[in-house]
Amino acid sequence: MVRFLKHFFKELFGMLFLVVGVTAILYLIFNLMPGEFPGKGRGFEGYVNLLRRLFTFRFGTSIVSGRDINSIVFPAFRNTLILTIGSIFLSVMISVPIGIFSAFRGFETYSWPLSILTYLLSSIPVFYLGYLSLYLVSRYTGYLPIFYPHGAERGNPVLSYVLPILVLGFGNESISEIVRLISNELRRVMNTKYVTASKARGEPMLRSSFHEGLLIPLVSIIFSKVPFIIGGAVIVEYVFNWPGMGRLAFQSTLDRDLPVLIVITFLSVICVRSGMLIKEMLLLFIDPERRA
Amino acid sequence: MKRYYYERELPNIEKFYVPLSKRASVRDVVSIGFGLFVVSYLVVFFVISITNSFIKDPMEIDISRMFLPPSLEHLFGTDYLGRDIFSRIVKGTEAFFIPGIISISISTTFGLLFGIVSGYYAKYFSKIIFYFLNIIDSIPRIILILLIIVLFNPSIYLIMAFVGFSSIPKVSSYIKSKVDVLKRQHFIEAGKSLGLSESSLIFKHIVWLSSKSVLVIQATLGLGETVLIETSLSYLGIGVQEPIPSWGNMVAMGKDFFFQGKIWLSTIPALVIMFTIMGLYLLGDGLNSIYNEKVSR
Amino acid sequence: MKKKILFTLLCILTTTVIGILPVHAQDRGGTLIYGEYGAPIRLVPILANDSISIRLIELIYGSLVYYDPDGEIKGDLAESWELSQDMKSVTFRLRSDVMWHSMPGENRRHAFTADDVIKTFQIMMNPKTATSLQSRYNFIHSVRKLNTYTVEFKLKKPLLNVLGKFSFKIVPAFMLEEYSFLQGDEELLLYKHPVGTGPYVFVSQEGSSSEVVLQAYEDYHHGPPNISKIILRPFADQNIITQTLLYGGIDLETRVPPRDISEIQGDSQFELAPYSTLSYSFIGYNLRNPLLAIREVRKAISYAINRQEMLDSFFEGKGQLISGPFAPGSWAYNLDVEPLPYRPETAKQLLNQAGFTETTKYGIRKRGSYTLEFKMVVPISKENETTKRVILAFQSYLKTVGIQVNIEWLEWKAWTESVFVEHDFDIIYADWLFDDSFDISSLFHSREIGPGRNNFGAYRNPEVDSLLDETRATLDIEKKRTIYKKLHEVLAQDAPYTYLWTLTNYAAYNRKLRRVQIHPTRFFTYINEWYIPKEEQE
Repeated sequence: MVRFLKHFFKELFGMLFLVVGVTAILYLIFNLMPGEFPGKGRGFEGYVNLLRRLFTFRFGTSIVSGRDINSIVFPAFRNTLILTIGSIFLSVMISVPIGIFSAFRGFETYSWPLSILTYLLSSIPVFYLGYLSLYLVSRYTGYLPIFYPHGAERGNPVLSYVLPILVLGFGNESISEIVRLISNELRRVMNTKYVTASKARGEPMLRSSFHEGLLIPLVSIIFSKVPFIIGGAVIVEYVFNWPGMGRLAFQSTLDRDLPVLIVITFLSVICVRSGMLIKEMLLLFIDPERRA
Repeated sequence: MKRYYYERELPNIEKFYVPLSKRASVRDVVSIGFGLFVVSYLVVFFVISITNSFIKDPMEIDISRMFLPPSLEHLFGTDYLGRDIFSRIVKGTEAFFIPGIISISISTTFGLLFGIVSGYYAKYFSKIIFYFLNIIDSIPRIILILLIIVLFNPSIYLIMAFVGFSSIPKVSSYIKSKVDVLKRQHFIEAGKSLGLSESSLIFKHIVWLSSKSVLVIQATLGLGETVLIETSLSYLGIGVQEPIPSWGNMVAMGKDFFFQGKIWLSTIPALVIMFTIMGLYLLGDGLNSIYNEKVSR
Repeated sequence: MKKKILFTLLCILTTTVIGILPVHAQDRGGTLIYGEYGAPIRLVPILANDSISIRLIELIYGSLVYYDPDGEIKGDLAESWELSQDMKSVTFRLRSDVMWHSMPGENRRHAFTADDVIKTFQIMMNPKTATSLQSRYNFIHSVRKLNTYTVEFKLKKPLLNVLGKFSFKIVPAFMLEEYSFLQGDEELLLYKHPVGTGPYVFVSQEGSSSEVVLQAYEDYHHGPPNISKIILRPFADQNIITQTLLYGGIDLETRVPPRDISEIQGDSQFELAPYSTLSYSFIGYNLRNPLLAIREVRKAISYAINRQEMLDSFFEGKGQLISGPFAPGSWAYNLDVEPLPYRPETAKQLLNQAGFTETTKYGIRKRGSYTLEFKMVVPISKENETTKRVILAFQSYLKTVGIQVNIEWLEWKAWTESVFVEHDFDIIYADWLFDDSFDISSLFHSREIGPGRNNFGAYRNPEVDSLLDETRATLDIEKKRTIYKKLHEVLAQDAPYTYLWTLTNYAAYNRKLRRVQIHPTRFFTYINEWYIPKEEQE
């Protein structure tokens, strides 16, 4: 337990250190390049000021649109979270059974087409998949599944939540990666001596190999997908008009709105690092033997 | 329970000496075969497009013949300006081929460099290197690209160079762990005691052993990623611009006509993208399972 | 017999009365959701100069006067007005029953007074304010407040149809007390939460590209509007807008892209309403480039492109070719001047005449060391498929006569700077949108050459200058018409632009909306009349 906590604080400190490093580098580069943002050109003092504002989450106003950044970014962030968490969930639900299936059955005929199918679906560029699904769903169900923040009696709110999540779940390549990883790891673990021993003893294979073969790789890969999910949402949000952080980032790029971009980068870095922190902690929890 | 920890370290070494043919399976062969097919058509298309031979002019506009469906004369039909879609697809390989090579070269060379240096040399050094690499790693790639676009207004080559940079952390941490394992091996110690110079030790033994697999795998996966990134950026309108064809901007312009029933304008480039990415990933995957390492992260 | 006549008379009377009765109270209510391609950039008047913002502002803010559908001046915030004998001053008597919308968080409401008009005018005309409205209103010398509800505008000189010009929107003085000019980056509550005197009150907008929600203003001085709620949905993708309309996600689409028109026409649930804005599209040239200063070159370009084919293929033929710098719907348009036909041979001839007889190895014409290679800059504010098609077709047509056009895609701000400030371009493709007066002097007069001014091409012609000055001076409408016709001729001959076409804009809406009338530039001016019958209000 003590070791746990010690490790946690060490990692946390490391994470904060890293975030500060990110902001420092960003600040340096932004100062050198054209583009206005609060605190530009005021050297170290400006940097400390920026840090203070970022960490207290008082982000100020955007130069381009004159709006308060907090009120733009946080709702967008929440919307993106819905998308990303939902899609990770979906990817896992689909890929884990397939991975287990292909590991157990080896290279036999019927697991292979399934993997090929998942590869196929994962390789369809997400921007096309989004549009195609819109087209198909609207033609065949009579609903256009676009997100409606207000006036939600129109259209089908369920569909408009489900479809983007579905598309992102397939389009973020996680499915093929998870399938590959799970099937490889599981197969490897199934061949180890201790598992064969358990099998000889009559224990169900899945239970004995679960811990090392499934849980650990799954946890690692889910949390390592965080950066991709934040980024991958950009296109899905664009297609479905979903008011999330990805679309906001894209718009800010077009408008050259630096303050908003800085805030978005900051938040994403925090998300990514926290994801890793949580992953480390979880792994430590699951696998006490692990060398930190 | 301590036993499997030990086992985790050894298998890499044992398997180096198992001949290739024994380790490959039908699935791997098919994957690699398909992947090689994809790579070959990419190369062929690229060569055709830079030499401007064999195909119609991808920029030739003929308004009177817009939206023709696929036919013998126009293999994939014509687009919204009467241009031949097939020749535009061929020309579209130019958009990502060289940038992809740039990206892969940067990520592998620097990844290798950093990985070996930090794996072989002192702990302190590696901590610093990894700190900076982690900084890059923490920013999701698209966000990084958007930032770069705002700051530098770059060409697609520069963007891909940065994408290459962003892949360095992955590669180098991977190499580093391999080097870590390798340098403890007995044959290294044996070499040292035999009096082999440090540099030959490094180059011949460690570098060669660790990098062989990763280079090829990273190259294929990296190219696959490049295709995806370039097409996505061009789709969003911040990559390759009209009239220069890119599979991404073809899908984008095609989508405007989707609901009017002219779906092939968007679908054909999308299918080509899908095919290409799938082929590259399968190639990487097949090679990977031959060398029996873990894929990416 | 008498009874029968009486009965019929009664019937007729009743039906007439019912017909002119205001909308029955039970038809109040309902929500109107309308879709735009893009999001409103500014929520305040004066600074707003894009159509989406202007349409939204029309719902929230009021003006002194406006034009009704028959072209008559009606008072919005002004009760009555008076033009002096010498036509050099206009006095407006303002309504005393107008209250501003409440500020968020405040309960009390401010009354609309002359101070608001004065403040609006001051800010608008301040040279530091980021707008080009100053040139439109610089015929006004000054304004002064006569009493709480009366203002007097003094004009520099008498002007034709001057009343119609007072349709600028009024902003609340009490929210702008410390400001004498506006640049757009101030931390003003008004920027995020507009407060006006119009029929609809701003409720919320979560983020800059989120939906804008408006509520009917119960105390609107012309009576509360029928539709209770209006929501503006910005779309990032143009195709989805029409689809959303067809599937009932939105009720109104303000600009239907040409290719969707047939789809909507076929659906009886929807109505297509054409409205012509006084606008036209053109190819503009920078005459600072010596090659483009040669008239033959410009005319050759005009002959080299097949405008009719482009209009038919890209815009489904929904528009009209033009021959001069006016919109064909306007009285200034000279119908005797024909649009140039598509004659690539004539184009080649003209280029030969101009001396460009040699060619480079790529087939581009040159004369000595001068090559016919031009830089065309295009704004990529939004991905617009028709713009792309026109430009690429343009490039291709010119290639066949031996002119090379290199396209540079710039982001909107960079484009405006390139064209209007730095003049770093050769060719542009753009359109002008006119209000009711066709004062084109800002486009072609030589004194309008310079950074930030509309004569971006540096066109200089003393004959045109004097004609333009004449139109400004004269008040006689017939004389004006003659001068405009002459201007049309000269500017068609001289071709500082290649005049392309004017497009018919279509709005599409769900038939559940009744009594829909659309203002050509402001769109929602008559929103008070629109209503949705109770059964269709959901």
